[in-house]
This record gives sequence, C-alpha cells and structure tokens, in this order.
Amino acid sequence: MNNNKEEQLNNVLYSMKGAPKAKPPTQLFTKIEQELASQSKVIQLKQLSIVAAALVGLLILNLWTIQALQQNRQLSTQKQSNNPNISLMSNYKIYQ
Amino acid sequence: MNVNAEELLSRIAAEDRQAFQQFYQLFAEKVFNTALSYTQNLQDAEEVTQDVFTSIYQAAANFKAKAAVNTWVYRITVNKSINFIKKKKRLTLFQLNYTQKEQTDFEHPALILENKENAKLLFQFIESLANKQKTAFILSFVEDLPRQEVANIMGISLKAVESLLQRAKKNLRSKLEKSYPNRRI
Repeated sequence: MNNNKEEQLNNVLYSMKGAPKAKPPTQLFTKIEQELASQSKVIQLKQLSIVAAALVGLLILNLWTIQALQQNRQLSTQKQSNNPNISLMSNYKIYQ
Repeated sequence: MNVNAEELLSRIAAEDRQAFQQFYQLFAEKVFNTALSYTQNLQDAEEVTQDVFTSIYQAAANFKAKAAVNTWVYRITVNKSINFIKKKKRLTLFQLNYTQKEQTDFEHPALILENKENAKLLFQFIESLANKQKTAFILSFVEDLPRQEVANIMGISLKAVESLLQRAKKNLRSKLEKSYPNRRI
C-alpha cells in the first residue's frame, strides 16, 4: 500500500519529466514585431516631447531674463530722475 | 547552437530583423513553456513571451558573452514571469475568486491524457511554492535542464540548487499527501 502510494506520489512529482513541449501560437512573432514597431514610435514621441520641453524651458528663461533686464533699466532711470542732488555741474562759477 | 545565437544577438543589436526572427525560432518554445509553467495560463504565457522577446531585442547590445545565451534567455524569462505574476496578483486583488479558479483548472496543452491528471495536480501545488523553490523545480523537472545550468540561471551554487529542490519536493510531497484521502494518487 505504502509502496503504491510512494510510487503514485513520484508519478505526480515527475509527471512533467520528458513531457512534450507546448507550441507557441503561430501569430506570436507578428505580435512581437508590431509591439516593437509601436514602441519605437513611442520612443520618438518621447524624445520629441523632451526636446519640446527643453525649448519651452529655454524660452521661459529668455523671457524672464529680458523682463529682469528691463526692470533693472527702468529702476536705474527712475533713480536718476528722482534724485534732485544729481547734476552734471556742481560749480557754475567757471571764470573765478 | 550558442555560437550561432551569440552571432544572431550581435546582428539583432544592429537591428537586423531577420536575425531576430531566427533567434525567436531558436528560443520561442523554451521561453513559452517556461512562462506557461509559471503563469499556468496560455494567454498570460503568450504575453510574457512577447515581453521577453521585446526585451531581448532592446537589450541585445548589452549581452555579455560571460554567460551562455541560453542561460541569459532563461534568466530573462524567469524574471519576467515572476514579475508578471506579481503584477497580476496586484491588479486582480479584488477579483480573487476569478484568478484562483483560473489557475487550479490549468491543463498543460501538450500532455497526453495519461499524464494530464498528474500534471494538473502537480501544477496546482507548484503554485504554492516559494519563488526560488518554484524556479528550481520548474527549470529542473519541467524544463529538464541540467542542475548546473539551473544554478547559472538562478545565479546560485549547485549545492544551493540541490537544497532548494529537496525543500520543494518535501513541500510538494506533504501537500500531495494531505490531499491523498480525497484523490486517487
């Protein structure tokens, strides 16, 4: 009885040993090729979006710099016009 | 076969689609059957196989001749299969009854009727093994690979493979014995 049980246990444990292999579906390679083709498109789109993001970043940086420069200029001209003490000549008695 | 496969890989790295098709023909059956042993579902095995070959195509340039191509392909397949199962378990967490039913009903498509019942029982219990024991068992007793190659694929010593197999067989035996009164084993 025990030997029989042991044999049956072994039959289950080694039931796949030397068993024939299952065949993959015939259309699987076509599917893989399609997947690869779609992935290369995705990569291109990804690269494009990275380039676009970099360009937008550069544009924003440029605009910010121009704005900052303009503000700086305005401030310096305002300072100059608001300051009454500044004059080109401090002594008008030239011929003394 | 390995020299040829290495050459094919270097051609695949140069985006040679014909070489890729040849490579697929060499390894498709191995990849598909290994994935089938893990997923126990034809559609899932197909998905894993697709994922494995897509990765091989993209990583062909990174292949290092230190390992045999066969070992490299099996390693990718094992990792992809384990990740697929993890992902599927996460996704179907709320549909638990569906996945359990699907897995216990698995019948290997290539088996003859005589072995079908035994294999069905075996796959049902393989499912409950820890990942390392499962990998050692599948590669040794389902894929029929030599122990040294199993060790290379798993990145462990021959001794460690033997110990994993002993534990796997012990666990499977105790589970099969417990089911003994209910089944004709």
